[in-house]
Amino acid sequence: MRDLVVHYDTPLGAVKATDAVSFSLGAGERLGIAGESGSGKTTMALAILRLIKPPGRIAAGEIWLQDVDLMALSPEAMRQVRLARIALIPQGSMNSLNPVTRIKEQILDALRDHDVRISRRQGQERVRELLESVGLRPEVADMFPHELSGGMKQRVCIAIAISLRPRVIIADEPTSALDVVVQKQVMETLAKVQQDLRAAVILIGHDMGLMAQFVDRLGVMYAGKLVEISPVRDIFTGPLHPYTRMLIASLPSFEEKGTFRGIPGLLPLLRDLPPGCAFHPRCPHAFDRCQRDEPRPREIQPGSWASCHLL
Amino acid sequence: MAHAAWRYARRNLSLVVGIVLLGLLALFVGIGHLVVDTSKSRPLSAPAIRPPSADHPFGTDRQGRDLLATMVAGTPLTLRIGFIAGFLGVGVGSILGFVSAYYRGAVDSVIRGIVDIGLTVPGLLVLIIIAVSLRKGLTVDQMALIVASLAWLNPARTVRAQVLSMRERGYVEVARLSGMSGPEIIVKELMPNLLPYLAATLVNAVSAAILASIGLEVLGLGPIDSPTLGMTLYWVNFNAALINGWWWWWLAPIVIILVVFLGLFFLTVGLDEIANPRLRRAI
Amino acid sequence: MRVDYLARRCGVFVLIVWIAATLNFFLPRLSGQDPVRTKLLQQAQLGGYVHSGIDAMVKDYDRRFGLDRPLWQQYLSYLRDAARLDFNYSIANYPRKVNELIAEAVPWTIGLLGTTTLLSFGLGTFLGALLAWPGAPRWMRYLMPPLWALHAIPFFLLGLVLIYLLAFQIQLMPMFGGYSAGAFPGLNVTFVWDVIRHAILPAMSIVLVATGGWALAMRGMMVTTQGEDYVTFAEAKGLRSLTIFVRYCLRNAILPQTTALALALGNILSGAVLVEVIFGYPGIGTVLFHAIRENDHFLIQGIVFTVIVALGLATLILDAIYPLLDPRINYRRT
Repeated sequence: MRDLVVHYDTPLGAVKATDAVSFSLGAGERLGIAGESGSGKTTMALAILRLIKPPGRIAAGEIWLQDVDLMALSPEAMRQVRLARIALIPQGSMNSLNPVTRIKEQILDALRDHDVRISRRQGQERVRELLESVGLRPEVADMFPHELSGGMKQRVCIAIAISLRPRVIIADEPTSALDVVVQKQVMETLAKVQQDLRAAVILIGHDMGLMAQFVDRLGVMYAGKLVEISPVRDIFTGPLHPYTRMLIASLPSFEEKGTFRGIPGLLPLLRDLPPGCAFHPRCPHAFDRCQRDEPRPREIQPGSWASCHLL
Repeated sequence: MAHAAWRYARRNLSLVVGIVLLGLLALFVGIGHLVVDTSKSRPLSAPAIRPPSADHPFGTDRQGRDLLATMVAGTPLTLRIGFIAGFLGVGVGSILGFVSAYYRGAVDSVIRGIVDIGLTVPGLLVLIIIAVSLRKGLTVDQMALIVASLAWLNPARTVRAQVLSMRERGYVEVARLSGMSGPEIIVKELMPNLLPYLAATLVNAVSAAILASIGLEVLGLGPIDSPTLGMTLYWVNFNAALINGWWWWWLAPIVIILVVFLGLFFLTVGLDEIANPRLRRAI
Repeated sequence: MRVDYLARRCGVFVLIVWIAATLNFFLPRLSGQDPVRTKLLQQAQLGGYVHSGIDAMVKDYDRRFGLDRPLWQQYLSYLRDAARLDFNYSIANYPRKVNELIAEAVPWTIGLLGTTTLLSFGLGTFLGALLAWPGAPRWMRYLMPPLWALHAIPFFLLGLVLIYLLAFQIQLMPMFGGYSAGAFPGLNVTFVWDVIRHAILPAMSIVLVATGGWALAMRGMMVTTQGEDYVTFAEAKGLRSLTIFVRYCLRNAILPQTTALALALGNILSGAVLVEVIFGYPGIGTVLFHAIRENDHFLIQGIVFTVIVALGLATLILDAIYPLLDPRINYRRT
């Protein structure tokens, strides 16, 4: 992804939901994107699949998948890319499945619309395999979404996401609405399928603990900008950007007991961003340059990028 | 301020159209009362069956009513029935719907049962039975009361649904937990959010009430001596004005009724837009 | 499983019928009018001669109609008769029985109402769905304003206008009635064509107005549905636009639309009654109109009762069908 800019048009002017976000993703790599709600993570995910709807629009940027610029594709070509090359596991699977159709239909219609020609018997077999690979019993195929629990629905979505063996899986907060035990199950399932497919995963979320356990590299977003992206170990042992540092510091740990440390202040309104660095009002180390110039991403160490004037 | 109002007007065109239409009607009635002699709306005030002329700009009908006077006198009567019935209906209905949703339990079951059954039955027919039973010369206000007796059903259902969904949302619980008393919650938290829906429901109820009253009148169950719009149409039908080619007789009431309904309709849509901004399309 | 739900709905139906019957029974009696006496007096006046034995006549008729027995007895026998659909004799058209008159009128009304409702619902829903589809042709947008404006006015108003324009001025269609005067009813082509010709204007008044309403409602439902999470996921799955439109949007939007149909039946009927009156169409509406004019209480009651029962039945059927469309409806108690 290079310099992705997504605008939302409001009566008061365009709001930049994401601003010049760039990163690269290696084959089979696990990348995490962390940030608070409203930092632009989901927007970025939808933008990759070109699912941004009015009043939003992709204002600028390129997204390259193995030598093909997704932004330049025709709508029909893009449709073919979805699920077959890049799959989405949506946030809030509570409502992501069609309430009036059976599970097996929802798996099969994706195959059908991607011109996979299989007989009815083969289709049933495929469905059974997919459900098994995510740890669901074959009876689930004939059920309706409302008959399943949250975790089961989420795993159905994973099953659909892998049904065409994509190269990239985007998991948008796949465990947000689930309890811890089910979370573990879902993440394990995700890890397993990713290994089977050798696909790359972009895991979007705000649970740093989860990120630590799962991803290879981690990017941090704030107010629509990617402020840091580094290997996950480096993020936790030596965070570069002040925001990342405060995020890590705010995580509760087993060793130190005491009061929680939060980040003072509130996320700025996207249409009312502070000048210069968007984080400077809340940054304890801000100095006068932070109010004037917007910091650009620079490679501070090999493999670690951050946008901060302090570095 | 004016600029913002203008911008909003452009977006919510319906609201503007509705207000304009109803405003025109109000003007018609207002100026009419000043300029026209409304006593001419009684029978035998003018020669019968005259097409529009300088003396009688809307013509006259078979019983010698000057139709312009009839329209000027009758329109507010019809509207009055609608408003009285509508307000009564929404008033009673809101209270019942609110009580039903807020207190739940047996009260809710009873009220909901009555509303559900009441709404399945075609209102006009029940009104017919009532009107026929009481047929000792209905006045305009009696008609309003009859229509009101059924007008509370729909508002009760709407308000109940709204309050129920508001209850589900967190802020009622939060308010209660932070120590606000019952009535305080009602007034400070629930009412402001309910207001746009109430307004839309009110306009709806008025529109439905006017329709019901006109329906009853066309069937001949209305106040016989009143020059209301519906009664005029009854006489039109009774005297076969259509076949006889007395076009001016039915043209005026139809146009006015059209303006009333279209005006109320656009107003409803406009109010809906305020209450439900989700339906706003991309700019 | 499903029995619980159906049983409950049937129970509600019976309740409706009972309430209708009871109201029907008590309301007219509230006013203290004696329909028999009134009618006899009317007849006497017409004849220009007041019979000295009129009291005796009233008593006699009272006895025949059963109006002289204690109230609770009348009520019980009324209920029993109503259950057998026996509504007594028509006061105005004595000695014809009420159910005869109703039975004659019902086919006309069902024909008109049935076809127009199905037509306007089907057409309107289809149009509404199309209007919500981004792939729809541009010219369809221009259909919206007239449909919008039309649906706000009552059916019979449009009927009046249509009569004037098409029946009077241009003389394209017949103005009144269900069939031409002097035509012989029978299952031959001429008669059937005659019936159709007479039904076109009343049908048009209803269809033109109602279609707009359904179209608007459906479009609204579709827009709401299109914003749902499962549609976003469907797009992320790379489904074809048509698949999403039909299986994800339409299939879901049709549910509240069907509920709306069940709720609107009462209103549609009320509107149709007025249309029939305007057109002199020989259905329930006109019979009711004449009954009101002639103060024929039994006929009025019979009609109102029949209509309420019929509507209750229709609603029941729709309610029974609804779970077939929406698998989320569990038949457990809510």
